[in-house]
Amino acid sequence: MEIESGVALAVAGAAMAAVLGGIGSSFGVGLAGQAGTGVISEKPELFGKILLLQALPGTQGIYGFLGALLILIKIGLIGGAPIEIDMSTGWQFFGAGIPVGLAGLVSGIYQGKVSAAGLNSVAKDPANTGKAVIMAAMVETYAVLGLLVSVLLIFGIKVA
Amino acid sequence: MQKMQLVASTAHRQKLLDALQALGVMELTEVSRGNESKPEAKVEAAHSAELAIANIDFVLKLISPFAKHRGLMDGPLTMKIEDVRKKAKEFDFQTIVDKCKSIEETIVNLKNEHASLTATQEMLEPWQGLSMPLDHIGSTKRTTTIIGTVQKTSFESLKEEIEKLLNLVNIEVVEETTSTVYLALTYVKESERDIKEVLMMHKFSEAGLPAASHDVQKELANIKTRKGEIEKDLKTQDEELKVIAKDNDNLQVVHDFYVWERDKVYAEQMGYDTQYTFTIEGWVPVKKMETIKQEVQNLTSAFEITVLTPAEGEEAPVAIHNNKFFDQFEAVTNIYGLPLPSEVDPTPFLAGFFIIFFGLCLTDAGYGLVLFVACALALKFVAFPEGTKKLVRLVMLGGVVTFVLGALFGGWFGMTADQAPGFLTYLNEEGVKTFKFQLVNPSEGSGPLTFLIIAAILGYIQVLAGKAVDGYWKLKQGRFWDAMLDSFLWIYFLIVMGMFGVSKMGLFFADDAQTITYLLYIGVGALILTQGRSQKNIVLKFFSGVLSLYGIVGIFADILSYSRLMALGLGTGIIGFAFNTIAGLVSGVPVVGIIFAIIVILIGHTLNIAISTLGAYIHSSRLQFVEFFGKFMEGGGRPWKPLKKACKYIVITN
Repeated sequence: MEIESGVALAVAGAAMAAVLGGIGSSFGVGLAGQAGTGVISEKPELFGKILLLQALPGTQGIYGFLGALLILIKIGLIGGAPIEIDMSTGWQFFGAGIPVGLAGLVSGIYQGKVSAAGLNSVAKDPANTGKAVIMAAMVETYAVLGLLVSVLLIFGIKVA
Repeated sequence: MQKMQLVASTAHRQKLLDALQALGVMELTEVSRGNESKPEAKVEAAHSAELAIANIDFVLKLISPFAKHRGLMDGPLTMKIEDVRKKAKEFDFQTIVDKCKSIEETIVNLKNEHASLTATQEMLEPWQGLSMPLDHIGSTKRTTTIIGTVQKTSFESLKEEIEKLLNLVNIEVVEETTSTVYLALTYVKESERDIKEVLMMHKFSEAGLPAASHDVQKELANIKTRKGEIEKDLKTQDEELKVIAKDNDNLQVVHDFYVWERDKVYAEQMGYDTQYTFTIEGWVPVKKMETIKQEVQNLTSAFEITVLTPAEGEEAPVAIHNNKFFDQFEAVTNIYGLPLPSEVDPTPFLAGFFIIFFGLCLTDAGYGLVLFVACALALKFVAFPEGTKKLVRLVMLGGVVTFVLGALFGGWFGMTADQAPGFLTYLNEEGVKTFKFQLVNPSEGSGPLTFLIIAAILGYIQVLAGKAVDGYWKLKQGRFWDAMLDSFLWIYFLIVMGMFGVSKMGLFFADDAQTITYLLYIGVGALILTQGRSQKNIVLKFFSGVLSLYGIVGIFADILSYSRLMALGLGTGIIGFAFNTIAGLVSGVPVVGIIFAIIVILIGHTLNIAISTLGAYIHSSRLQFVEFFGKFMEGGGRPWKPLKKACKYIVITN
């Protein structure tokens, strides 16, 4: 009984990482996409640049997916035989999913806002694209750091 | 940059301006003309050039759907300046402009008519069952006929009430949909007021149809015929545009020519004329002064070139120039913007760091190879504009570095050593399959930590390098003490701090811990004593000095920021690994499994390369802009914009 709940906790941690990151990116990409569609109606030739800015807040979802996948591989649910995990280890995996998930959720939304604002400046002058991209990437830093901590935690957790 | 003044005879003005424009080495500035206003005639000349450009733009836009556009592989239209001038003289664009204007007017009118016909058509369609001609709607001497709609739910009661009211009424149901009833109502005029009241109560809404002596069916047929005619006319107009579109290239050439003409007129306006001479002033790179002198000498002997001292508060424009290797890194610098005229060009200093960071963010030899090959092919077959070419060359070089770093970190398309083909791996002393050339395994054991330490060390080095560039530049400007105390003192302090750190960890210098501690005290003391030197008050001097130690926190934060290199590098490998794993799972499906696996691998890795390369470029840039530039430059220089043969469509050859 005890062993199975450990696995359940680890799976919950993986699910949280993927879901929260995914929600953050959905918001972000959605926000930037709405602004981008507006720009396209006026200047369809800027499509490539707009797509680039819209895609930026998408990384949080990928990071979350990455965190989830690492947990699943580590506990043997993917590409191997499931291993026995006790409650305490299960909680450790659960905790390891939090940084990438939460940091991704919030930074995804805010990166989307910065991207959307950047799209306005790209609409005025396409030469601003590089600067707008860098501004949006400043927000991503914290999703990267969240991923970093999650990855280090997942690698560090000792399983039997 | 130097400010230069050229005085020459007005007779040679056109020739000289044209030559200067062809050289493209002088940014013109307004010559002070006191209270005099600009001569009228020149304003007119500028307007006529602007008008020509606007007209050609209009034509080019109109014929764009019919023109044969140059593909990515064709490259732009290349021409000699002489040929452009000849073409502009010969080619009669004004006739084309006039013709296009009339075509456009016709098209707009036809489209408007078409739209209004469609609207009428939609209005008439429900009334097809109306038996009377359209002009029977309205009043005769004794009766009135109206048509309109009512909600289906209220129709029965409406009918009942009207029939109760009087019997000299005719209600014709023309059409019935699920929600609405279309009626025609004829009644004697005397009862108009009562009927209207009933109608209003039942929310009857009166419809207005166009007048005609025939019925709705006929009117609809007429509209259809007319629409057919219009569509045919529109096609004819398109055919005419197709013919004009054959001159697309010529129009583009003339467009660029008039842009040159306009720029020259503006240049003329910036200058100052006396009766026989004209004067222009502007910024010229010091190295190009001789070139200008030579060129002017070839055209006239009556001229005078002087170097001016810029006025107080007048800021020189900035242009950065790097050699063949470093110029591709200008793609990075240009995103941030240019340094101030008093600052150093950061391009050569960021080059090494940027490319290594880029490689570390990817750390996959396979991806590096793909990037290199893709960029090399693109450079060979696609004609990029100059700015984009720099970017592609940079990513190509990044591919090489990624290949090397990827091999050192054992990254090969996200494969584990067990999955990799035999020629890439060997069995190490412990009998574990390992990649050849691999020094660090970032996903196992102490590997992630090693990677993180490498990232932090690179950050430490770049922070030191930033301070060193700062010191070098201050020395070059003759600010010896600022260089010593603001830059080199900090470098000393940071190095001792680093040594202190490793000795505490017992890695190196473990025996010299005492000495290092003293060296550290010296550093702290020196900082406290010197960093407040700009303050007047002795107490403030001291406190500013103490406060400056807080700068260590900032530098520590800067170095931590480089941990993103490890996170991104690891991320690339893991995403690749994930796609390989998924491909492995689907390959188990019988028969089609292998096809699915190949599709997953192809799409997955392409996606990963795209996302990871973008991330690598952005984050490597950011480390330069925020962590590195902050140490020695402020930026915000005004880009140098010389008078040149600026081209939108063509490329000039010699």
